[in-house]
Amino acid sequence: MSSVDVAKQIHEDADSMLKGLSIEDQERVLKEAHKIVKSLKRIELITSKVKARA
Amino acid sequence: MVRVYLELSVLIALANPLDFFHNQTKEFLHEVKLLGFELVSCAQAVEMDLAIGVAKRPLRVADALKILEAINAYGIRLLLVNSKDLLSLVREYLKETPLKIGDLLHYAGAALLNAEYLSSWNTDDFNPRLEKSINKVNRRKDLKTIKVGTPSIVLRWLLQ
Repeated sequence: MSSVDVAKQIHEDADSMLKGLSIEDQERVLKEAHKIVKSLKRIELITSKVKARA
Repeated sequence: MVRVYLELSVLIALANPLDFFHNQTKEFLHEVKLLGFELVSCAQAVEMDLAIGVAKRPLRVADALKILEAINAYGIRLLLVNSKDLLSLVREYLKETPLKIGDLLHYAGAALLNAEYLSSWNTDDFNPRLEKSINKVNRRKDLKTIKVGTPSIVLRWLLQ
């Protein structure tokens, strides 16, 4: 899939996830998305440290 | 400083050397930086995109990490805005456009970050026709109006 197709797909999924929620609930979803991205960065840090030691 | 906002498709193209738009995107960023303009994107919109992308699988975890790495490597500033303001503005845009919330998070992020230009390779959802509806709301809300185009078109405007 091209960058455009992937972006469109993601935005469609975001739409179905956030549509119909109150602003407060949408804010909570954004907070959880932030935590997910933070976790991904931590995973990358841990795995690269382990690989560097090996 | 003039801010150029980068939508998700530009970030994905930048992170993937095999993407059709990869080289043009790199060139675009290089030129924008030479001109002394600031490259930005909205942290909440991008984080939402990456989280959903990984959860629903158009993106692998490695893809999401490459996008974050590219954002860092190219000096793109991922900036936070007030989430309530962001989501309220998205609601206003929804009344005027048929766009999806995922797209509108970027339009709203660009407006709240005072970007002058929004660049996207997705011309179906980011184009001058939709720009008019977005800017109708931006003017009503006393926000800066934005010019929307592909990176190639935005670069032409910047070089004028």
